[in-house]
Amino acid sequence: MEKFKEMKLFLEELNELLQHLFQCGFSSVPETLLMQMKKISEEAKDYGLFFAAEEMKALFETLEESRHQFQTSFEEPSKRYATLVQYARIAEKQLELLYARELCHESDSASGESIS
Amino acid sequence: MQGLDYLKAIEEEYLIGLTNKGTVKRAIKDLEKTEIQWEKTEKGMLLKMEDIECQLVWPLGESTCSCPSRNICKHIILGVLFLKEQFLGKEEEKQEEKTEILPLGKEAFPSISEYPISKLSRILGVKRYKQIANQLLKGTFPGITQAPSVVTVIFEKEEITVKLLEPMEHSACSCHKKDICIHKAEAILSCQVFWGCVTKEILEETKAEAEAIDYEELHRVANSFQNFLMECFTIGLARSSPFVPESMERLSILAHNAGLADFERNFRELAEEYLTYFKRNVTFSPAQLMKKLTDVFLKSKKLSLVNTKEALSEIAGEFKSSYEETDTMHLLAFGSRNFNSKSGYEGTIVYLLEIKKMEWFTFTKAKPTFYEEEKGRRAGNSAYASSPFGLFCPFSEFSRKEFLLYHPRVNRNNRISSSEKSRGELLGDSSLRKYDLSKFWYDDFYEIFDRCLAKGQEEEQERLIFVEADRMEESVYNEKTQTYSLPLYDKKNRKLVISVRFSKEEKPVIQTLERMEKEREEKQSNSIPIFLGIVFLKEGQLSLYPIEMWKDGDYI
Repeated sequence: MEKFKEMKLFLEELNELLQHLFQCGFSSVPETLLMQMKKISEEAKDYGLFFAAEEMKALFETLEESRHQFQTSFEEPSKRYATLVQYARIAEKQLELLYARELCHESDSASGESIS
Repeated sequence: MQGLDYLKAIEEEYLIGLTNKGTVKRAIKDLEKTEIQWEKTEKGMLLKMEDIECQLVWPLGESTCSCPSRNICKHIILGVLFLKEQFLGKEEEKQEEKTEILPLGKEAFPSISEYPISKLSRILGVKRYKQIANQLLKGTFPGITQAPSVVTVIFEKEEITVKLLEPMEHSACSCHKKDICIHKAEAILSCQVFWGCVTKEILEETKAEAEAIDYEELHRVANSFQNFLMECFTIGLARSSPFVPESMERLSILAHNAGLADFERNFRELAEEYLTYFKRNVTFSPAQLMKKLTDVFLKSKKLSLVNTKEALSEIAGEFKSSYEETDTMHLLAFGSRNFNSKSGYEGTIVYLLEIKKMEWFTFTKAKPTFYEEEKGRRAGNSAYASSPFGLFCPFSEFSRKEFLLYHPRVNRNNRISSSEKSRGELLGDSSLRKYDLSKFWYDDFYEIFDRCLAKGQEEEQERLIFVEADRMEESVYNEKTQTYSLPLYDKKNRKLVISVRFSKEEKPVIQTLERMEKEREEKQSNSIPIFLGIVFLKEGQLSLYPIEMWKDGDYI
């Protein structure tokens, strides 16, 4: 159960970061958020989420590069970003299903605790 | 044609087409007692009667009158009848002797026979044009009757009568649309094929042209969707312009015109989301908006690459689901729920179980609220409305009835259409005891995962189940999330939570559940109701949205 919770926390963190990115926009990503992206990309690898790690790394690199350019096309980052949002959502759903199944299986003995 | 020739061609049917039967009858009646003076003018004829002046011109539809009426009035008709009597009275007598036949067919109606087929296909739209073209190719024509000045086309199935006049602008349809409506277009096309102005080859050719999808145009539309969404991502939510909802509305219209039904819905929903953001509404969720924006972006990306009809219909959806007639259904209505969607519809969904196939179906009664003012009139209470399919019971009772449905029309999502052809035969109240419902009956909650959730089932019908619990705990209302939760347990102590989030539509659901709990407590009863609901996961917890409850086999 601890593993589920840890993974859930990581996915929440990933989602939060994607939301922050949506709030500030690709054209004005603060330095701290960029650093966070780099960190999350590395952490994703540790959790076995290799696709998320690669996409986040590529997104980080493009956005960091764009900070030093006057004109940048955000087509590629938009696609990566949208894919990452969808990926995180599917991962969360799968995790929730696995957790609920596990919880239900174990509930003969344990009193029903929630993933959140 | 000269004025006299026009007068010759004008007959009662034509005048009725221009105005209506009542006006013509009144004019005929008034003809005897009205004194009319006339004089020839450059335009046509000037008629004076009492204090009214009528300027008759040819074609007659352009005539004017000094009375307040803005359409063809009684005075104009009176004038025409008067002139006919004055100038043609004697000639008609002669004609009767000669029995001269006035030209019939395409020669008498040049503006109908020469009406461009491309315009007709545009008015009818691809689907309708295809339908009528197929019918005409098979040789199935609507009822066409010709008189010297009017062609009457009757569409029996739709109970529509079209009167085509010369010139075309004055043609009339029983749907009362002034412009060229779909019925007029169908009537014109039928006449053109009937008269041989449009050959079968031309019809086949234009049918293929109408069916052809302009992928270049679609890709262009997809690119404009993508560019706008990219701009949203680039600028960021915090610096979004307050005009974003308007732009989304514009894009939804663009989607509508391109025949992209799902995109139209999506952009309308996005506009609503942005509005809640700008209004600082508590219901706004940035995560939800982010999810929707990215979904639409990825879909637009797919649209920009689409090149087959099948792929397009998967991405774009359809405006009106195509319903197909199936065999007679034996249905048990097991409850309903009200909804109010952000895409601008509100209504009731009734859940029906087909006993022979053991499959869930839904019937939706909805009305659009999109065009209504925010604080304006609301949709009426549908509970007192009559049931569909001619069933003799109010709509509020329809969701608890057992009936046979003849000529049902169903779409691919198991939705039943309220087609007038489908007729129902009431068999009584639906009951849990009468049939074997084990396929949807769960008293072991672990089984729910494999059958209803493992494959990521998204359709409600796939997650509709009856739940029989072993015990029940006291409900909790979470003030923060505004959610009512009622925990249920099976024999192996596995938990399933009845979960309802408070809203205007859900208030009665929560009240019913609370009342049930109170009654149980008062009577110190241990019996637990059977629930019918839609199962889902919420924060890792198996949950159920309740639709109906039964206690000792009776509805609560």
